[in-house]
Amino acid sequence: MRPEILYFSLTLAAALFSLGLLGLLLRRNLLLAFLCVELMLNAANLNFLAFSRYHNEPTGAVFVLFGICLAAVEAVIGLGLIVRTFRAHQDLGYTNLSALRW
Amino acid sequence: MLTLVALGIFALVALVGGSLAVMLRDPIYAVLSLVKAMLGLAGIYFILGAEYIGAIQIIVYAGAVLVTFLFVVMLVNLMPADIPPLPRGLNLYGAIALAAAWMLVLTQALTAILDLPDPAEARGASPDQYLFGTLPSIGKVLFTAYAFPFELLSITLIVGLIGASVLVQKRSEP
Repeated sequence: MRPEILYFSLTLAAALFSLGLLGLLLRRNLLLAFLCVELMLNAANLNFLAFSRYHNEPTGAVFVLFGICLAAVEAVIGLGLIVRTFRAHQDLGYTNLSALRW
Repeated sequence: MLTLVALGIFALVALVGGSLAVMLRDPIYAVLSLVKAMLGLAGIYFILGAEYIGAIQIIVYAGAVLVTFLFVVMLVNLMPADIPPLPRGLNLYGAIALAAAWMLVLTQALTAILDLPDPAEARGASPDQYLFGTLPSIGKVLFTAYAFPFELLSITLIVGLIGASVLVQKRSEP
């Protein structure tokens, strides 16, 4: 693999991760902020896959598989929490999550 | 050359989808833009040679996870009017500056590995032998070296399933 494909993929992953971080900072709605977390997870997956291709090793692809499964679980649990928060407060602002404090 | 052009097109799709998902006010449009970003990333996975991961990306991410997001948007009846506008002034510029600084840090970390040798060339493998993303090679690693994490993952999925159904059920007040 030509190294420029690796650098291209890593730069794209960095850009997507920063976009997700920007969205997490800017969005004032739990659901839309959660959307940005998914974007950041995908950027991490792209990094795994780019290095996996670079070293011609399937281990990175296996990790991406694990990452996608964990992202699915995380999305389901997070969305469940969001639905509960909405039922309790009829609103999805960040501060409503403070009801989860122990 | 063609590979780089195709990579650029898919990267553009992913970046435009991602930035629209960050900026759009309408939640349905934001989720659909993220679907677009996922599809662009799946195209990049295909070009990198990981067909199986690309298919999983389309089926699980674009197909299942983001449709669940759409369900929740409709369940809580989220309207564009419910979404607060993006902050203006100092908050906006501060967030952009922070994200740009983080991007700078990440790309600086890239330059630290700029002089890596090409490992496949060093090993003498021909460029056509990139089989890392095919199903047999992934399956061989997944069910030998990572068999135990794979089983743990199934437990995690069950826990997530039960947890989600416990979280969203309506309890009768005692």
